[in-house]
Amino acid sequence: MNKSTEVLVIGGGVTGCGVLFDLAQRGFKAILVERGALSNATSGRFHGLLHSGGRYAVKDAEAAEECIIENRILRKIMPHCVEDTGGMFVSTPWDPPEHADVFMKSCHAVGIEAEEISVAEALRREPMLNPRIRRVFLVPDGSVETWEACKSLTESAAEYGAETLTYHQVIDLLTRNGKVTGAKVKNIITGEELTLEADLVVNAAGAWGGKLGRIAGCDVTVHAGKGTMVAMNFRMVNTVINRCGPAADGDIIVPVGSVAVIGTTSVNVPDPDSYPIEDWEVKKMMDQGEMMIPDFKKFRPLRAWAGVRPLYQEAAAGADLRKVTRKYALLDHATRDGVEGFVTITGGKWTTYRQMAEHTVDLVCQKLNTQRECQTATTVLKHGESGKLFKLGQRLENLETKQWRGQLICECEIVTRPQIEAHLAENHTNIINNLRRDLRVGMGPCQGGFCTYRVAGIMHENKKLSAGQVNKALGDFLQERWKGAQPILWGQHLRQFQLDEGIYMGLLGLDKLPTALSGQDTGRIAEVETEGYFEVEEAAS
Amino acid sequence: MSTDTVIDKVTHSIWNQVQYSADLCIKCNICTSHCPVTNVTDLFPGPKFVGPQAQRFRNPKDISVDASVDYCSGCGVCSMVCPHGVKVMEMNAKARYKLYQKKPIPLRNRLLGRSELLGMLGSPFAPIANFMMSVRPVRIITEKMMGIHRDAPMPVWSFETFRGWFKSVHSKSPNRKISPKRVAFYHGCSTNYYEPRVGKAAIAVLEHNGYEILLPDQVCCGLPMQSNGEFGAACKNAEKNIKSLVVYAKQGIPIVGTSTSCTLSLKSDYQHILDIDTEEARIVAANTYDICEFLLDLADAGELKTDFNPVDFTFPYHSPCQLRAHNMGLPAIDLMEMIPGVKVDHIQAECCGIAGTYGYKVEKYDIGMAVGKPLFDHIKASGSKIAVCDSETCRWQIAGATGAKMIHPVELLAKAYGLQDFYFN
Amino acid sequence: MTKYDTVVIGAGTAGLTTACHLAQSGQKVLVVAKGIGALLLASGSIDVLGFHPADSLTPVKNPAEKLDDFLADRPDHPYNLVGKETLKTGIDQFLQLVNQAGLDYQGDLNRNWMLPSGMGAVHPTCLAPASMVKGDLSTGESMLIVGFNELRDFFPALIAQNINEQKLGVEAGSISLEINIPIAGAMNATPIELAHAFEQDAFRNQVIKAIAAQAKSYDRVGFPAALGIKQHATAVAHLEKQLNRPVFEISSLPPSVPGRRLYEALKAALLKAGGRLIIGSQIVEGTIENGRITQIRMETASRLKAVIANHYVLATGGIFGGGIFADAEGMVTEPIFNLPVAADTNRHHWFEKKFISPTGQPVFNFGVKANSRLQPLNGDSQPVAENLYVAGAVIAGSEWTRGRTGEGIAVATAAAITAQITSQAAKSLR
Repeated sequence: MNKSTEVLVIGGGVTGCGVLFDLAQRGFKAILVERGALSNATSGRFHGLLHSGGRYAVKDAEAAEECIIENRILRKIMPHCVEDTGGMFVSTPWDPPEHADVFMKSCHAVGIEAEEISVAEALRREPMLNPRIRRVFLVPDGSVETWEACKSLTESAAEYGAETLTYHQVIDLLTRNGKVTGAKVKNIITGEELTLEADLVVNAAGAWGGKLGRIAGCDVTVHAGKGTMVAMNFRMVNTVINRCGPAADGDIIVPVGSVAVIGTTSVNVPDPDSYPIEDWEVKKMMDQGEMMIPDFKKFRPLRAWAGVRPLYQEAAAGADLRKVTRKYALLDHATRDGVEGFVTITGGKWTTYRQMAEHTVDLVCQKLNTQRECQTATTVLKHGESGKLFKLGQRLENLETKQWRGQLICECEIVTRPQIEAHLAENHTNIINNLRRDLRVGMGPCQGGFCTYRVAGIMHENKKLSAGQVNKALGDFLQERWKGAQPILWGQHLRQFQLDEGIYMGLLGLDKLPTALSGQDTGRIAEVETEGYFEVEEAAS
Repeated sequence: MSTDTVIDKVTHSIWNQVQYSADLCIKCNICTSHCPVTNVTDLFPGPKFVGPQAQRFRNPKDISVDASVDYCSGCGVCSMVCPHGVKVMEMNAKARYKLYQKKPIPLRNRLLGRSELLGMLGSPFAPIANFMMSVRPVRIITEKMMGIHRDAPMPVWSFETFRGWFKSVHSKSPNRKISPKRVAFYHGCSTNYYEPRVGKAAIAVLEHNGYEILLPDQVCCGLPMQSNGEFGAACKNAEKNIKSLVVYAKQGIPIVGTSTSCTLSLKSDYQHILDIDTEEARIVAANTYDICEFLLDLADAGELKTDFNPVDFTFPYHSPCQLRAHNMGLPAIDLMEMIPGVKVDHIQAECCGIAGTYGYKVEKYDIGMAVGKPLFDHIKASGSKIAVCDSETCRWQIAGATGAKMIHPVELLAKAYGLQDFYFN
Repeated sequence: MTKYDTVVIGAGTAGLTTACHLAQSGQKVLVVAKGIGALLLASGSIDVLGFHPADSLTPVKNPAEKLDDFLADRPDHPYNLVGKETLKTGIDQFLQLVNQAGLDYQGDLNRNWMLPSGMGAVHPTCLAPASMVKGDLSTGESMLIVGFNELRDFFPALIAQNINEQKLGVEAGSISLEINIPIAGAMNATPIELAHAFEQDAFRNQVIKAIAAQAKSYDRVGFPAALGIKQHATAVAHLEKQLNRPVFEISSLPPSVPGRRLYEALKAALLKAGGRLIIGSQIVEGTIENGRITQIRMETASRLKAVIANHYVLATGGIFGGGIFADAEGMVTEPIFNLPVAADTNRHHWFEKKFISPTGQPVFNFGVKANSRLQPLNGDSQPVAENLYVAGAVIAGSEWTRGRTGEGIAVATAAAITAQITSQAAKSLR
């Protein structure tokens, strides 16, 4: 099967989706391919921070300014994906007071509204905070729902005629006379192969950008900087809490969705597709959390996961990954490597995706000899029309006011049967994990204990799947939940899993249905650890 | 720039105390399966739903959205049966407070919450007031104007208050017990304005066992205000009571009460729901006893007089929710069975449905009656004209629904000791 | 004087069964528990030996026959503490207890019922309510499985299809009814609400009318395990009469209605025999003096209260029940008496890679080591206290799923402890 288009975007993270939308809005014919589900890699594994820029203000004014400008824009163009949590920078007894001394000034210098409040006031607003903190500054941090954002971007792009192909893996790039002319991709679900011809290919493959570049014959070095984080069952704070000091492991807690995420570490890994979560990382997160919130370890961790930051550097990286620049890089391989038809956008952070996309598409315009204005800064994306920001209590309110009707299938995260059925109708996979990602099924305290069975039953009814297929889908999803739980499985959460085990095996006998057991080592069908949020962070010097 | 609403002293405490216990929920639904309200109406989605589940979606910075928490009756069965220690009922109480912060508390709720005021208003005019409350048209008007259901079991005002009797009659009596062993008696509004006979029976039994009774200054325990979301007013009362009672507690004088709801407030609600987390509150709590609890402890120590006259009867007994929430078992049963001839038929019912002021409200009356139906049916089927219950509002609810005469366990003891007969003989 | 003969800590199957036996033998018994146990979540049947070896897909037909192999292959399992004879006694005693309490349970150690699960898998179990036993898959009779659109925890088509695909010799059909379950509300119907509905004539008549025609093509009709709680017998009788064929129940997600019936029956039996039950109070500690527990302390609303007895039975469950606690550092403890726990403190050894692991997860086997008298042992393998016993899942080696032996452990240890305590009590009278 052959398709042709003007621009092919490889990579369905927030950057790729942003590029697709900007291209489409500017009138380009464009297709995006992503080997898994949208946002399943780095974009879906950071901790969801919408930067105010406070984390860069002291050491990197330029990055800080970029952040605050984009922060304001994103609130307008995707309000439904942004929660106005506000942020605090707290100077604990373990933070250098010098950093705090210059913090506010540095923020103001780049236009970040920062305000110092008394410790008493901070404790009144966030009673769980460590009373030993010395100084507190308020900044306009927020948190973001990455899947909602990627969904809005690609759906908005579709309105301009763009096409998004998920579960399509790039097998090879097409080249002719030193020019990249497209890609050969494979539909992982059906096995079908496609040839996509394009005038220009944009490499937005994040931590895999180096691999892709090398296929095109370009020398692109992108390091995979793993970061591990832990989601806590309960939002013990409702404001982003940052340590007021140089960037360090575990120095931020982000309330996002119904959880609070503490992150993160920074470890170079050779393979962006395979990296373990190590004990010391989890322990560090819990210990660091304890410094900001004295009762932190009493609370129940829900999941641990890791993502890889794409760290681009022209020269070889040194030992400290935080020194590798976190600025983004836009590479025109024609001038750099003599390969036409191929550009790479890499590095960067979620908060500045739009700006990265803008510059990328500006380059595309240049290379395709057209001049078209970017309007993404002022275009409200699909589903954001009401202008209402995301609120934690939204789902509960929808139920209470009867806006949402029908059976409550995932009780922990409040997901109804009509929502699940709509999703099943629109999407073609049997993978319950996709429902989880989009609707949050199974992401609450019971980790699928109850809802997985219900979802499987609904899938059987709605999609006319065979019982064997349903058994397997069930088994696969439970296994996926299990993988993310083990690093933090103790205490009350361990009790939860014994209940879940009791339900699926003791009561339902899933372990005695052979079809549930096949494929337990869930293949790489783009089901790499897929969840959570991951913050792509600037290196400090 | 985010603008924070002011988070007041009480709501932020949601996140301090109750928060950790919501973390413990593993969604087993044992609480929901035992909830007496969920089992009779679909207006209440269940304790797990409005408790630990909804709690994860409540941001103290935002307006509270879930009105269905108001249908929680506060009976506390959920907290009792939860094997993980989730304080579901307490969580719901605080969430209700949060709910009412953003919408005006109906006048009806404020009035029902002020049992002391209601008592003071009616008692001096008891005969007329009682008559009025028995007149159908008056009840219909009260229902339409105030939202108090026309058939709700209004208690009968007593012209003579317990305090009045204690001060002007009892303290002047030459038979009054003076002793180094003393208790401070917390009577509560119900004994004071409606059932002074219960207080009198308690005094008689305690004196018979060698105790002198002291009457501390006291106000309404505040539970009705708390249940209706008026935490500010409830706290004021709580602070007054603590201030008065701690003086006795510090001297090692036990505080004894005949209302299981009042004593539960002193023991637990002040600290865990109203978040009055002071040393004085803890001392008062540690020294508060339900009357049957106190008497059974005496019996365990071999200090309770057993000169009972036989009473040959099988008494249906309802153990109120607010008694079970003391987590100490059911001392009344063991006590009553010490009387020769007495058999106790402990009714296996969760709740009578009145739940304090809940069952009085026009929109909740039917739910309350449905909740209590198994209990009422059992009593009617037993053929017994008398039944026993430690809680006053339960006694009124059961009496209203079955016609049975209701007594407090201490009244049975008083009769067996030959000190005071039943009020209806 | 409220001193008890025996105090049982924990209100699960093990605790309640032990307490009932002792109360019926004439003892003054108190059961005190933080909450209600896992029997409210499990199927309501008594699993004694479902699969051996644990990863076999072929269920054990005759537990009595397999028991010797099992005992030899699993030296760590609590059955080895009590022995075959006591296991048999435990089953018989349990059967007698619940039958007298008004529940019609059936079965014996020589056969396993092959019951259909909520996924249509085979659940081999030794004792089960009559209403579930009629669904035994080994009879080869065809079955119509009935679900309700409003009940989200039961999918009749999935169950039927899985049964058919396993080629068990049973033909299964299914139907899902569009009938309003009263009081449930569209969003929250659990089996408990359905059970209340089934206690109403009108509801049952609606159901009968909706399935009568289709039911004629099948030998028996299966429902979600929700055929009434107190009026269970009436509900089943009515359905069977009108449908003119056997009717049975299939267990699904918690809360479990058969489990609830069992709980209510055991509770009633305990109270009838003069026992006392306090639900909602946690036991926080105990005092050991001269090799005996002299008192335990219970958390009441505002202070600790001492509870004194001659004998104490710890039946607080494993990790799920809260009787065993495993923390972030790998420490595994028994929180009330601080009994030594047989456990691996290296968290990496706690789990298998697969969640669906037929050999179970190692961590769920952790528990307290006991001797053949069911007394918990200290580090020197000596009883911690001569009047303390451990029953049920708190014992090392008992795990809910592996081999399907959980409830067997509960009833067997209940019988063993009852025998121990009653003989101790008799001795002290002489």
